[in-house]
Amino acid sequence: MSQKLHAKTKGSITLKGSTSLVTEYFEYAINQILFLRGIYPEEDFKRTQVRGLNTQVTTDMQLIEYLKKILDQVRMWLNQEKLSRLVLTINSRETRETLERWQFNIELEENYKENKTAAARNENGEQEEEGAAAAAEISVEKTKTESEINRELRDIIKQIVSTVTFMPTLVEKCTFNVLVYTENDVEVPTAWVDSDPHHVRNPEVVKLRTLNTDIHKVDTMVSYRRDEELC
Amino acid sequence: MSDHPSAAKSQSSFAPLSPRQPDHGLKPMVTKSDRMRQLNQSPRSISRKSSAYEVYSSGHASASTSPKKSSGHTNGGAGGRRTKAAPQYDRFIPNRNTMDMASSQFNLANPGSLPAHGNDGAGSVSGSDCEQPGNQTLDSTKLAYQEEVAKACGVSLNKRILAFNTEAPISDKEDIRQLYSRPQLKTSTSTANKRRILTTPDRVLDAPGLIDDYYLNLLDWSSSNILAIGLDHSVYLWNADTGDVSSLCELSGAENDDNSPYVSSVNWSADGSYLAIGTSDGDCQIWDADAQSKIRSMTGHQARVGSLSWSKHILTSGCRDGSIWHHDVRVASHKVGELLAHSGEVCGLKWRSDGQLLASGGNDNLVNIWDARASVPKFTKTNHTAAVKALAWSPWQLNLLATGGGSYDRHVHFWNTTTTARLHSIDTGSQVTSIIWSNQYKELVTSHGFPDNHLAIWSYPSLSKIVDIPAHDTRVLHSAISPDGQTVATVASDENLKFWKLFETKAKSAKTASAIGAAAMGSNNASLSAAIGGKDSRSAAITSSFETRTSIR
Repeated sequence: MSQKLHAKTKGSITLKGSTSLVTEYFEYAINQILFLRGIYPEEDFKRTQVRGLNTQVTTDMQLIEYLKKILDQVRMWLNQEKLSRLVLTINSRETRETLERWQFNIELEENYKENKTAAARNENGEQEEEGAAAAAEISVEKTKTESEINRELRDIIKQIVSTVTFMPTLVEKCTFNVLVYTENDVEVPTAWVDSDPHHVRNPEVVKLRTLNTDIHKVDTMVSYRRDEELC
Repeated sequence: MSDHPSAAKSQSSFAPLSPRQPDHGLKPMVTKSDRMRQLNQSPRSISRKSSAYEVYSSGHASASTSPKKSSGHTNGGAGGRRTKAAPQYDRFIPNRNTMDMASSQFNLANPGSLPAHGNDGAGSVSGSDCEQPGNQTLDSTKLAYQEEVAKACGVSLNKRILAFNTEAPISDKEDIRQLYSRPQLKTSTSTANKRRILTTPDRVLDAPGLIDDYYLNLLDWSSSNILAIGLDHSVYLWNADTGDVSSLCELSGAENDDNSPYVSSVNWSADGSYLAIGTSDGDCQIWDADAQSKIRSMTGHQARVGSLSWSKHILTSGCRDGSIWHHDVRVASHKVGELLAHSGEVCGLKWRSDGQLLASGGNDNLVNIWDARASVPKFTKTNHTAAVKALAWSPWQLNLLATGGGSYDRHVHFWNTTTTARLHSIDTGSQVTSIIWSNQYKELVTSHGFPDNHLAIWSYPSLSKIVDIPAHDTRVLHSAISPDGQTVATVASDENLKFWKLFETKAKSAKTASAIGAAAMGSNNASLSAAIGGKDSRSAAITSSFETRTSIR
């Protein structure tokens, strides 16, 4: 089934490709946030160029290992289409209070869903030609070039950088935590446990740009604690 | 199934939330009467309308005016548009992507569970028709509340929240930036500050045998313009008016015994006629400066007396064992008070000029402020992270105290001793060995150790640095200010005693400078080290008794 679909929608992105793109976006976004918010010292980061974007990536082996474990699992869930949200919380090391919450909402594009149903029908042998034609037409119509996606990715990372400028400074020592929102029927490895949503108290919410890969649509938003003195 | 793919073809680009659009696509110019007829004729089409995301959807019986409004609008707006963009309605349509659809659905199914339902949502939109109450876009407190409610009701929102269990690694690297990144030494005065400060010493004297010990206080300048310095076993007096040097005393057994007591602190009484000397064997001696004779000896301390301070007839001494004693010098049983709050050597001790408060700093990193009448501290400050030797009361604001910490601290803190509040702090970048306030200018000078061994002048209260003066080759140990408040004397473990005209006042300067200069020149070689010279074997150091260096760097 998938071969057929891919053959027909040549040039468009596959689920796997989209997943790795989204995971890559998470990786750089998380690294960038950890750097910008000073969760880890500046010396632990090095400047790298990814997809035409200068970004900071950690060199701390422990942290790399830690993020890899998370992102591998995220990739798996994305491939199974079980993941609806990824949240990076920044909390105080002392009080454990959530100070910032970076939220990445993941949605499957409608077109991709339709494609899938069309493909499923194809497999059943019903209305093969017509359905396939429809699927092909849709994907051709909607295909985004890689450079477009790259530009979107760049723009969001840049937006994260600029967002930090108006966020309150983190005075205390902080650590971070990663939450995911998944379907109920997901297989949960032992490294993951059920959790509360870690909402920010008295938050201010800023929505950032959207990354759209034709299959996944990732909305990014950040909520942070409103400055009490200004209220 | 056969008609579905074709329908999908034609509708392919419509979002599911816009079921009205095919109608408008086919009939973009629906007039009011057409519209009315449609409504009246075909109940099927009405019911289809009512499922739309529309204002009038809840009550079409009374919808005689609203269809007009809405159709008129859609004619101009979204008629026939075949894009994926959200259709243009006359209301605010929230961004579906930012919404928590699952909890919204839950809330619509259980309208009672929402505490304050949106004003427009409850009234005009019939719950089951609409997927989202239209008033929640980025209101994340509400979202949070909804999730809490859902959780409390035990209703599944069709998702799980999982957290990665292991704790994020903590970077245990010390932030080494604060150790290595120091601001550049600022050796010229800023243009904003017009005052010219000489960055060369006014004169340099030799001070051979000075003990290189941060915890001692071996330099003091009396109100009668006599400088006292403790050099190993001896105390020397240098008369700033005449330039004469005299040896005040020499502790017994100094000749050949390494364990013989040495001078650990000197302090002038307020009138400048008596000098208190603390020794390494715990003795406090009172000497008459004019007669050059010892008046009395007050023993009792178990360890060396590293700090002394006078308040009228009370001499307060700080000991290595952490105790602070008050001695009444007029009575035979001299010990009239004992202050126990330090666990380390008391290396800083200063009475306020009015004698009401005493500040003490110790090797236990504490600053204690004592009321003269009490034997427990008025308050204790723990902000310093190294021994506190540098203490100074402001001469122009009684309750203002400055304290400076040692090599691991490097901070100067300013305290309001009335409210006990910390007013300001400066990170000086190196060990603070002493602080002196100017009484002429709103300024203070701090002396420092490694790595620059410099003096820094700060303006107060702006705390901007006026100038850094590279002063000595090794750390500056002690400092004292002249009674006229113009000259600061510093002594370092490089055995140089240097005089700096830091707070020169223009009106007096010519007269005083010439007076001191003449005195010093006149007395020629009768300098401090010349007097010591006879006893000290280091004759090479002594020969250049003093020099007026014009430039040292």
